[in-house]
Amino acid sequence: MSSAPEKKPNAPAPQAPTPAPKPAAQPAAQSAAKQSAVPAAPPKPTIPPEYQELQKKVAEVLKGLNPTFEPSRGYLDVVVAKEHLVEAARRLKEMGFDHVISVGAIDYIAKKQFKVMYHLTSYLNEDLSKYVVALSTYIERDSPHVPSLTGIWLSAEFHEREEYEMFGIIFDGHPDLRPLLLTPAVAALRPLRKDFVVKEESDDIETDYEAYLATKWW
Amino acid sequence: MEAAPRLPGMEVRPVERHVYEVQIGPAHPGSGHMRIFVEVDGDIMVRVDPDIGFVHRTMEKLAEGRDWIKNIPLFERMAILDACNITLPYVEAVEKILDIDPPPRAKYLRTLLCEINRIASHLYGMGIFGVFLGHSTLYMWAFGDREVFVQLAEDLTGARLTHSYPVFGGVRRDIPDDFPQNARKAARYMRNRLNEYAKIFLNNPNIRKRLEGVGVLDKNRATELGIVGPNVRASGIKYDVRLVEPYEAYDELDFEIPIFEEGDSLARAWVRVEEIRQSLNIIEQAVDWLERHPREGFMHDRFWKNAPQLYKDIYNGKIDYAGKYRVKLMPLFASLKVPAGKASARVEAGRGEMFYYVESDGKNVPYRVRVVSPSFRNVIAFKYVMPGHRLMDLPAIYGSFDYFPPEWDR
Repeated sequence: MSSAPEKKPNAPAPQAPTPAPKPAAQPAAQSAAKQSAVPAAPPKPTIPPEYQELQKKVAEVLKGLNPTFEPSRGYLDVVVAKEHLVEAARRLKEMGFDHVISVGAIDYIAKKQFKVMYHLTSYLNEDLSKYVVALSTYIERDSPHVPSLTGIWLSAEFHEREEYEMFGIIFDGHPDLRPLLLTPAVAALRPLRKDFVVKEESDDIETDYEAYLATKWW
Repeated sequence: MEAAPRLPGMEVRPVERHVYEVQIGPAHPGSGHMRIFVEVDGDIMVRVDPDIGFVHRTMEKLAEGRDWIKNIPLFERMAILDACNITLPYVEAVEKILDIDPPPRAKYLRTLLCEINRIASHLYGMGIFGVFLGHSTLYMWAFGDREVFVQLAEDLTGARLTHSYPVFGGVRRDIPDDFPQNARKAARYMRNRLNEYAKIFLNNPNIRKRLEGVGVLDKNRATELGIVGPNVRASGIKYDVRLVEPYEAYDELDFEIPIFEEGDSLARAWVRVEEIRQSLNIIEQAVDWLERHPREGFMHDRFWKNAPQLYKDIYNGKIDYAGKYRVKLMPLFASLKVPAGKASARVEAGRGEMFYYVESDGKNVPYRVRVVSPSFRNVIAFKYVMPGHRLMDLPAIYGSFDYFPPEWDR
């Protein structure tokens, strides 16, 4: 408490909320507010400024693997080909990214692709802790195989199990690839794929206990 | 093979000679449903398989079919006692795509509620931890004291648990007039209580016997498993999102990150107590700041411009704040379309790092939201930390990680 007064007062007057880019001269009519959403801010397809230095380093580390950097906000999106995923992961781990925050997949049904992303950061290397890097790759939607990175980052184990049951993506080489949250009958429907339509609530989702028990140890 | 022993409330099955499988759960005596398959040799756990998903609510799928704003009340169902922390990264990620930055006052208000939530969440976790170890006194104390902070949150937001307080561009409302004095009173009260907690629980010889040296996670192992939050700071890792990537008002506030080196269950309990102390400091600083600065700008201009007059009157003090009128959402939110783009955000929630990945294709619903909650990242520890301990240590380890099934199932 005593330390509070010495803080900078952070005068609100000069840096009061600056009006954002004006929504192109809207009629003040009520209806305008009704149907027009916030006008799309000018898209800035760039690497976030605080990540540009890191981008050079990562490009250096992944030399020879043809990494591409996709525009993103809040993290650095590094895309490599599927063949180079394991090698890229190994080099990033050597660089200091020692654990996985999230393994996420996205279903681009129009392009017939999945994108698999490993969001990484570092505990032990404090210079890297402030960055989040997503090592990602595109895979075919029809044969969704991707090498498992659990051998490199043990922390990816449960995340990969989850993406396996939600999308049906096979993580080759995963030590223990079983459904995690869902029963096998539900997991077989690949619920997070875009072509899975959520049905209205009903109680008769079939529960196949035989198949469920088969995923357990006995 | 011998016949399996009968244990009340548990199903036991022989696996091989001398090894039995014990199923703990899914109806759990603690809180929330989860099951652990444990193989025991004698009473030493040799293999542990957490079987989660009993309260899975398909949040990632549901989010793809709901308006941007409606996802906030959805996500806060993950951990209702930590509602602000749990939804904040979603709000931040969407703000990044919209390219708006909330005004400073909104940042302080969010920080204030985050810390109130953190204390409530820690107290809840400690209460459950106490009852796991048969220490009903701590359970009663912690739940009773949590009420103080739930009440503060209600004063601030109008709701005890599911506040939906941070919204895109700001927060839903400003503090009431009597809030600062109540907050200071609560902080004074809680500081005294924490000393009593130490006396009755953390320094209690019975409890120390159960916790000391149990479930030890060293620095490298914790990194490898990707454990988060207070648990990782109990293993000597200096990592807190508030520190490494400050969000909201945290870079202007003065606080410490408690770090312990032992990595056992007792250290994990101590970290929480020390964090409550720091959160109380942060609350006092935030309240001081809010008092010193005029009540203006808790919502970004882009949304504020279209607000109804009544809203602005209440906010400018022309109409009594806590009167019969309630502050509602900005009209623009109902038809919000977020431009195409992708963003991620993370914050330090009560139980650890909360992470969202949000992708938009320009429609009124998200294309994909990936939610990673802290408890989901902690659950892997059960599989790798518990084996080798005695069955009696299971609740001590389980409770010390501040488990919360609704959060990890999502």
